[in-house]
Amino acid sequence: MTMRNPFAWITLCFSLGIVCTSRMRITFPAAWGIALACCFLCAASARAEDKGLMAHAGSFFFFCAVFFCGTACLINADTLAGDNLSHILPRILNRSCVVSGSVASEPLREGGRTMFDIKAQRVTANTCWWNCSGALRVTVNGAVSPEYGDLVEASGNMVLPQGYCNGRGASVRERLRQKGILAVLRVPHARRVRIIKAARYPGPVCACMAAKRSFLRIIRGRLPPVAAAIMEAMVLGDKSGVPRSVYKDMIRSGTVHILVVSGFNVGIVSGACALLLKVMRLNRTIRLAVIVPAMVFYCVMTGASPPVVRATVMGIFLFSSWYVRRDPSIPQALSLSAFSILVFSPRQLYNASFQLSFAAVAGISLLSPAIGKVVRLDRISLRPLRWVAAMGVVSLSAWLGTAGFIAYYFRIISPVTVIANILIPAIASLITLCGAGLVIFGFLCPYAAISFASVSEFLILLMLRFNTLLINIPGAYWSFP
Amino acid sequence: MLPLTRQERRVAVFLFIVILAGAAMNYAQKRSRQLRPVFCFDQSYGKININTADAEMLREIPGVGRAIAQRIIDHRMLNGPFMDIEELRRVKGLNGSRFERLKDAVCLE
Repeated sequence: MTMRNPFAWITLCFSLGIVCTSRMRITFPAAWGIALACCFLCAASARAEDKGLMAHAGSFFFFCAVFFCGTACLINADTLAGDNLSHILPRILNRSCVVSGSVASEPLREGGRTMFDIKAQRVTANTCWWNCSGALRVTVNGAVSPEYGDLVEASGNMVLPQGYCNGRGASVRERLRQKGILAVLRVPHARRVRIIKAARYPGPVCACMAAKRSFLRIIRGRLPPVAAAIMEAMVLGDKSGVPRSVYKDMIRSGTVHILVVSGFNVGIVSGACALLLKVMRLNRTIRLAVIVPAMVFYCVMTGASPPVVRATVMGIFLFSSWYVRRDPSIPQALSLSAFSILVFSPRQLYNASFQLSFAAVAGISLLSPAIGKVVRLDRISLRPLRWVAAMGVVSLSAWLGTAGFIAYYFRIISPVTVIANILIPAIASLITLCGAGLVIFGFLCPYAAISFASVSEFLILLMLRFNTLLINIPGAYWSFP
Repeated sequence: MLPLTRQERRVAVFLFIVILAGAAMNYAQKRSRQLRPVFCFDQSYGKININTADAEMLREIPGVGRAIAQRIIDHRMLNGPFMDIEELRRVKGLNGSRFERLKDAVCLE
C-alpha cells in the first residue's frame, strides 16, 4: 500500500511532535537520541526480508523519528545561547540602559513612533556592561531612519513587551517571543539613537531592503497617504500605515487577508519573470535559475512572513515539478512548505498568520473540488456565470477552512465573507497588478506610472467602498467578547 | 498579426487598458470637480472624526484606550465640539508624545 500524500503525513507527525513537547518534559539529547534510534530501526527494517510486517514496522519507526525530530527542533529553538540577553535581563529590567547592535529589521513608523529590531552586541547599565547576543525591539518617540544592517547605539529604559495584539488577547510578549525578542528598549527621544556605522558592504538582505525602500518611495510619491498605505501592505507587506478603521472593517468582512502579501503576489513576480524570459526565448534551466532567486528576493524584501514563505516554497516546488516535467501536486507542495517553515522555526506552529495561511490554502485545495462537484459547476453553461460560481466555491472553501481560527483569534463570525471574497479579491488582484506596474513603470517610464497610479487609487477606493457597503448589511458579522 | 502568444497578447492588452483608463481618469479629475470624489481619496479618509465618534470608535485611534476615549467624550460634552485638533492637548493624558502619535489619525468635520 502506498501513501498518497507522504509529505502531509510527515508534516502532521512533525507538528504533533512540536505540540506534544510541552506535555512530555523531554530533554534535547533524549529526543535527539530516540529520533536517531528510530532512524536506524527504520533502516534495519527496510533491509529485512519479511516485507509485510517489517514494512509496517519500518513506517512506524520512520514516523516516530519524524515525531521526535519535531520535539528536538522545538527544544533547540527554545534554547538560548549562554550570552543571550535574557540571562542579564533581570539585572537591567526597568533600568536605564545603552544598547549597541546591528539593525535587524526595517524601521516601522506608527503614529509618531518608530520601531525596529536590533541584534544586541553590548548592553551598558550604570557602570556595568555585558557583551551579549539576542534580539530586542527598540521603540523611539519620534522619527529615526536607521537602515537594515547599520550599527546603532540607543539609550532608554529596558522593559518587558506589553499590550495585546488581537481580540483573543494574544499578548505582544508572546508574539515577540516567537521572533526571539524578549525585551523592549523604550527610547524617549529620537536624539538618543545614534548610528555608529552604516552598513558598508550590502549583502543580499541589504540589497532587498534597499530595493524595498526605492519601491516605497515610488508608491508614496504617486499615491495619497491612505491609498499608498494600502498599496504598500498589498505589494510590499508593510501594513504599518493602514488606518486602524480600515483594518477593522476588513476584519469584519473577512477580507483582511488581502492586506498581506500572499501567494498571489509571489505568483505575479514569478509569472512576470517567466513571461519575460519566455519572450527572450531562454531555455528552461536558465528560466528556473532566474525565477527561483527572484521569488526568494521578493520573499526577503516583503519581510519573509509565513504566508510569503509558504507561497515561495510552494512556487519553487511547482516550478521544479514543471522543470522535471512532472505533474505538480498542490497538497504535496503545501505540506512541503509547512514542513520547511517548521524545521527552521517550530514556534510558527502557534502563529495565527501561519495557521490562517495554511488553513485557507488547505481549505481551497481540499474542499473546493468536492463543493464544485456538489454544486455541479461543470453543468453551468454560461461562462461568466460559471466563473462567478467558481469564485464563490473557492471563497466558501477558504472561509470553511479559516472560520474556526478567525472566530478564535478575532472573536468574530462573518457570513458576509463568502460574498465579500468573490468581488474584493478580484479587485485586489487588479490593484496588485497595477501596483506591480506602478513600481516597474515608476523606474522605467514615469509618465506611464501616472496612469497606473490613477487606476490604483480608483480601484482601492472602489474596494473600500464595496467593503463598507457589505459590512453595513444587517447580520453581516457577529462579534462576541 | 503580431508574433505574440495568447498569454503575451493578454499582458499587452492589460497594460494598454490600464494606461488608457488611467489617462481618462486623470483627465476627468482635471476637468470636473464633481468627479474627483469618484476617483480620488478624500483627505479625511480613514481618519476618525473626534466630534462625532463614540467611545468604541475613539479607541481605534493609536494610543487611545478606554479611559482617554471617555475623557475626550467628557471634554466634548463640557466644552462643545473641538474646533481645532490642537485642542486635544487640553484633554488629560494627551501630552506631547501621545498627541504626536494620534494627530494624523484624527480629523474634524
